[in-house]
Amino acid sequence: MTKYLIKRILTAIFTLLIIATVTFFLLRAIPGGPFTREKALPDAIIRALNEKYNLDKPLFFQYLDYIKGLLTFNLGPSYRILGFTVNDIIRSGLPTSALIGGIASALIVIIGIPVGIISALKQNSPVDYFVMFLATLGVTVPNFIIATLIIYIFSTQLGWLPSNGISNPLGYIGPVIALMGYSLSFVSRLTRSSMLEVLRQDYVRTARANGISERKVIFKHALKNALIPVITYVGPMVAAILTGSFVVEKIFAVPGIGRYFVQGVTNRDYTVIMGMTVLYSAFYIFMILLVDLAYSWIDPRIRLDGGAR
Amino acid sequence: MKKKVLEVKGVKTSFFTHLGEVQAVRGIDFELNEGEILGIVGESGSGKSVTSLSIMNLVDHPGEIKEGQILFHEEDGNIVDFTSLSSRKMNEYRGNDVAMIFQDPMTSLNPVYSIQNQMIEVIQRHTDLNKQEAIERAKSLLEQVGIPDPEGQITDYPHQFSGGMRQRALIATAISCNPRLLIADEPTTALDVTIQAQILELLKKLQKEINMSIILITHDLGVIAEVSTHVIVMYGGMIMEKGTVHEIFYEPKHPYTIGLHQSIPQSAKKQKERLVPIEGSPPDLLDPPTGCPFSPRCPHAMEVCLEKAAPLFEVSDSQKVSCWLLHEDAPKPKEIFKGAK
Repeated sequence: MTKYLIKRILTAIFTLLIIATVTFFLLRAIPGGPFTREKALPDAIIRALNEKYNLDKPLFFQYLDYIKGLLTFNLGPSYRILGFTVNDIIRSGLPTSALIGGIASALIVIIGIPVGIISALKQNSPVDYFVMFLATLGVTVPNFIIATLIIYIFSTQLGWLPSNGISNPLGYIGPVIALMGYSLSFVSRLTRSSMLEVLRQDYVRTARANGISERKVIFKHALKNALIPVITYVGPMVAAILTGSFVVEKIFAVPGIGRYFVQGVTNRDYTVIMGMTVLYSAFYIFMILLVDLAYSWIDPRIRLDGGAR
Repeated sequence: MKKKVLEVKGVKTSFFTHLGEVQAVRGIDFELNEGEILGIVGESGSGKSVTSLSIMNLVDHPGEIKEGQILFHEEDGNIVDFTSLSSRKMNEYRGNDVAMIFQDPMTSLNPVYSIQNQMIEVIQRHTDLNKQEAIERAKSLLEQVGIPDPEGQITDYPHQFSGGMRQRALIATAISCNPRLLIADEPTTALDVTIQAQILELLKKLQKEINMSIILITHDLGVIAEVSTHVIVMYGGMIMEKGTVHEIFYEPKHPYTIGLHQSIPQSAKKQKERLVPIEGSPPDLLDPPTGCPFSPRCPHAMEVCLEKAAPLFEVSDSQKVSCWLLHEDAPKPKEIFKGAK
């Protein structure tokens, strides 16, 4: 197990290096740069700026420089947000995004899975139709509409929730719900269909034929098998949600890091884009590792170290 | 007089689908005595599997037992009608007094739990044994069904077992509470031939050891001949003919039974002899024929056969045949009444 983990962590570092490399060179291939403006800056200033940030050096030198920083967790200065390093940006925004995302992820699992189970057990009943109607809405309606509706109804009309900022704890409710919409719907649909599939399996019939109580048939025999596809989805989902959403954070004026993904790109702020990409990739790779560990715990057929039992 | 184990009376089971009512079982009656091995044979869609699920009261939505009684005679002579039990009450009989094994051992064990876990769950469900005692019981059961190293293999997961071993483990689980009746639904269909023979031998051996009755569902007449004491031939959701294994194999009276015999390849027989298939296809159970379900394919069909299903004519104490040819006014074709005057 330890050997497996070490192997996976080394692979993860290697993967991150590849991602960083590809992103680095792709970014430089895009026309324009961090100091390109609609109204062009004087050549002398651009030259001075390029010199300050080593952008006048050969590309390969810049690359080595960046990787050296990356290996010491130094993501470099932002070229556009003056006085801030990418580390500062992450340090100030990530906790907020991760807190909102963490609450959302937890609620998605806590609500989505039971709702999916109930829907599967009451297949084709009014409860099932209602849940699936909501879930279809949740998957199809974009989060900015959900966010706008929440603000309109609960902030503007009813005045129950603040319409922006998170200085008041109630301010978390809107962003959390808007962030959950899609994934909650997806998880409950996935749990439902997976559960329906598993309940048709022969081993469920065997359990019933052996007089096992319906409760145990569902929660012991069916659920464990049904959760495998759900876990596959939830892992990467958590990585995406924890790293914030540009749209939701923008609408609710939440100081998270979601907006830097977009701003970084429009500004050609090389280091910010690199930093966000590496951060998201790291989260993602970590969640996939967790998913793989969960698989081996749930399903004995999956063996991590590849050895025979 | 032999003690009865099971009486099935006028059972009709239907599935209410979008297309309409599929009448899978259309009124069957039979009984089973202690120590008998009853083979139910029929082609796909003849209603044999649904019959077995009906006995277990395991017919899934949208299926439903519409009519009839399934009377189970307990050891002490007490009689219960399974069709009238709540599912909670029925669960006390399932796996305990009546157990069932299924066709595909590859998928009939839960892949995410060990053999031990699945076996002791059933044992503890129906007995007061504690965990350690249940494990010991499970090991001795595995030994009884011929798993070579129960001590070492009981903690294995299903994927570590071969098909034959899985079926053995399923049988071990099914007999764990000494059932009075074991229903085996095509227990050997998914296994290769040598394993098939072993499993059938095992069932015969266990039947004697724990004195249970067995209902063996199969489409394979060879399997029936191998193990059964009695046979029911089903077609189109109805019983065509029933009798002892000798009667069904050597003195079949129903044209369908005779057709089945003619369509089996027999290696011992002259190889040159052609097989005689039964022409046509089984009836559509969404809209079953009013008369005898076999009449459209029957070489001897008469007018009455198309209008009215035949009652069960008694040929002997044990042999009953649902065919109008057995009526006293009917013609007597030679192939059927070989010895008759």
